[in-house]
Amino acid sequence: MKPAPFAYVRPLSIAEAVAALGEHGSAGRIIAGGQSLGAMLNMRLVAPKVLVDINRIAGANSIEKDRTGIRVGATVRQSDALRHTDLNATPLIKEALPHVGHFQTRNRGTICGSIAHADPSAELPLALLVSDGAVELRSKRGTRIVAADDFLVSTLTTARREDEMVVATLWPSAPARSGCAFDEFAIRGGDYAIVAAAAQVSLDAPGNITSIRVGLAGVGERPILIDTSQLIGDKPSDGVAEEIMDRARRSIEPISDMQASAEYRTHLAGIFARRVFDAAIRRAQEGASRV
Amino acid sequence: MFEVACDASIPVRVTLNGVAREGLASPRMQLADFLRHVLRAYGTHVGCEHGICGACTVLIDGRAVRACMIFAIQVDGMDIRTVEGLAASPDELTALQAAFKKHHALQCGFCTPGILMSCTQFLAEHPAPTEAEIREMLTGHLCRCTGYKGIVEAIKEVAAAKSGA
Repeated sequence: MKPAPFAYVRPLSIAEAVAALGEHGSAGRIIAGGQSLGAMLNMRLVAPKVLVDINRIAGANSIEKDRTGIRVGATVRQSDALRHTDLNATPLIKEALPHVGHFQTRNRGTICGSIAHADPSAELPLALLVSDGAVELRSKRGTRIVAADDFLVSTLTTARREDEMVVATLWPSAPARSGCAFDEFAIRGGDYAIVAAAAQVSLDAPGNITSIRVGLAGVGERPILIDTSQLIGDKPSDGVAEEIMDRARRSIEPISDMQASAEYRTHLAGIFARRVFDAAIRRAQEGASRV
Repeated sequence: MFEVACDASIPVRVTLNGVAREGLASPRMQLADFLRHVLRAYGTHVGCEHGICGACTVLIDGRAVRACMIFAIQVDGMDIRTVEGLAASPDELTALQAAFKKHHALQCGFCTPGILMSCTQFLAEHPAPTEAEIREMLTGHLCRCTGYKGIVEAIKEVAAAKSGA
């Protein structure tokens, strides 16, 4: 199908983009890579009056690194991020990216766009949540930083106000002796995940768990974190891994749809939570994350 | 700020397969439709129109991209390559096209232009790909005729010949 008619504006700075959003409100819609929005426009699932194309904003495609982590600008393409060595400091994003769409859609799709879109099965919102990352929002009123857990509200719904633009996502650096892993189950390579799981763990010198974040996507209206606070201080073992599997299954109430039954999703959630936990622990023990 | 009303058509200039071309497009015109209906370059096929099937894949500034998920107005000034630009003349085949023919890597041919454009970027970046890498790249394309085996064989043969194996 073809999109409903829309007007087109092309800001050349973030100030111009937020001015356009301020002017058009809910009738305006930002397009970055367009790999989700393009399909929704073509199918007329959305029909904005004005499309705000941010692709030619100078500097919006930059990746900046400091001691605390990396800042990924609004138009950084997924394929560029995958190749960028600065992202080795935040390995979970690199673990997640090969699962995002296909190389042909990663060539155009952006990191920030996927997170702003907030599909409940998408990989990057889950990776940001498990990384304990945040979203930088800007409007004419100013800039605010919203933690991923607060930003991701529900299916295709975020804490972004209608005059705000996602100008960057913020990914904290992984601490020493840490490991991460990402895995998912999908019918076809590149499809949205039926269940996706991510883990980020760190260990102290004797090998006990000092921090642990394990999350799931595809099992509810938004990606979730499993409550693992009681496992801090434990030594990784089969028992701990089984505890993760149980907790994963108890933390979710998935729906049944044409792709998978709720029962099957619950089964997969346990398997994949354990799988990413085991892989993250192994990498932390090896002293460095793969990448 | 550059603004175009929803009912306006504006000139869009691209370099299509090395030749400067210009045509009119309204904001909602997909690049795939601009190529076919305005520039009359029918080599690019349109399948699903939501980024899944890969038939409309073209190279934009050297990168394989879905032409149904980007609007013509967004590519003003850019370099576009389509299947028409691969061989030097209409009665010639590139090594990749010849290998597709030899290995029966197409039957109806609807998906082929998009696959060839993906392969162009893929082989430039992966001169000696593994079969797993080839199949991963092909997840971005639907072919309902071949079962992909001939396509994989054709790509492997061309890569092996180029990398001197």
